[in-house]
Amino acid sequence: MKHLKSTKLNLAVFTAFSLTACATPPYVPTVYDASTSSVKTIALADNSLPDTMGANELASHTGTGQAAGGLIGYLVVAAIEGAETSNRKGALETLMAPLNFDPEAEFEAMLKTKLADAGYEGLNMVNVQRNSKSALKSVPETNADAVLNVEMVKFGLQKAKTGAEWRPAAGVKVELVGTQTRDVLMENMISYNSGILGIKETEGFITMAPKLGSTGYQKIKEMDPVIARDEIMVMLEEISDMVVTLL
Amino acid sequence: MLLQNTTKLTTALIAGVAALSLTACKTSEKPPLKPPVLSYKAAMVCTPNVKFDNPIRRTSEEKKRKRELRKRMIALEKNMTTKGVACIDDGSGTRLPYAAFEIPTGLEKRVVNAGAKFDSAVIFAAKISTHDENGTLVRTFEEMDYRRLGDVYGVQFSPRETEHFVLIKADPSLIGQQEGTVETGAKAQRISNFGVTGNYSGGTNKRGFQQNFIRTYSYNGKAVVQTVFPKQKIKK
Repeated sequence: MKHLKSTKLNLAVFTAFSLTACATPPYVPTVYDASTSSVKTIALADNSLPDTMGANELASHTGTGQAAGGLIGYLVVAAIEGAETSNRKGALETLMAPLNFDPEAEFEAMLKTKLADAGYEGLNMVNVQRNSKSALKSVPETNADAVLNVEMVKFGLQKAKTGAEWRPAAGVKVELVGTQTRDVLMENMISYNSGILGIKETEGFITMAPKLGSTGYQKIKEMDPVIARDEIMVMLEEISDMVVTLL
Repeated sequence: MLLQNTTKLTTALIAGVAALSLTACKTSEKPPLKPPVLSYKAAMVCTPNVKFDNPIRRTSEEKKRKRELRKRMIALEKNMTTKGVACIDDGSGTRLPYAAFEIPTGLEKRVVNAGAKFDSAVIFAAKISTHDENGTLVRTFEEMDYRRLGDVYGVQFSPRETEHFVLIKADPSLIGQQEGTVETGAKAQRISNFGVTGNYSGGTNKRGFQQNFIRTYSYNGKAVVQTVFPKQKIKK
């Protein structure tokens, strides 16, 4: 009898757990309303990109878990995938090295040009400290009206599975913080090429995907580094365009 | 022995419940691909002006409203293909279907995602504007304000105090234009296996997919207004 009770309890707990797992609350951004704001000068937060490029495969050809193998089967698959990930990462760095490609410098230059075209002034880089959610820990010293803090929490290449193609991908967090009020005037997230890279895809945040006709490669060792770099540049252009439209 | 059997049964039951509730999250089977509709034939008499007297609005059912609060989203939709869709005729002979939505009120820090629902091949060519309680125009959106927001293609805004209605109208200049993308994603799939000894093993299998999409802006598809909001403070 006692056992039956605990069964009921287990079931109740499990049901509650699995039900809440479904109901991921939608993402609620802070939308900037230019008509009610007086931001004219903007400072840009430094260090917008991670130091290394990631190479992420979403799932193996057969999937990540195997029911027949149970937990052990899953662990074996996970271990193999882990090993491949570390190999890929090195391969990507080696491939891009001769190009002296500095995606962060390129991205920040794009942002500056586009913000200037949109009529914003100042546009100096400022050093910032971010917390684990990419938000500014404190507002840096600047004469600008606001600080634009863009951080790519993930950046690199991604493919769906073995046999699919590598294409650029990024998870981007964006916020605009008023320097006087310290209010968050705008906050949003951009998921480029699937939401899985870095930030979980939920309803409501900005979703972008590479265009049909973009070049993808099945294997990193087969990549033409120049074309791979150009594809990454296309992504950076599209993301910087999107960031500016949020203001 | 009896205890062991009960344990097995318990495990199976728990697993069963888990599987059931997980599959319950999944959307049902994909609807068949809809071809784009590139011309509009009004099914009813079009009016010279947009009517805001019977907007699509939040449910008044208490149970459903509670669920919306829990989910932190109020989703209003209108299938623009159906015969009952209202239309305007500005006198020049151009007839355009539209849907008027009432923005849900009484929610702190609400954000509205308004536009067209993404389909595999079709996007309703939506032009979006907001209006006050008398139907007077409050704001329109520029081309650069339209973007993909999860499964909605449209605009995102925090409603101003005066904004009462969202008007979604067909935009003839968009009709027939196409967007092509290569999309990458992963789908989780619940799999289970009953062994010969009656043991149950199960897990979630994540499968990657890459798919090419060509979506055409057209007169069919769904207009949608999603209002999302953070957890609300309980008012005393």
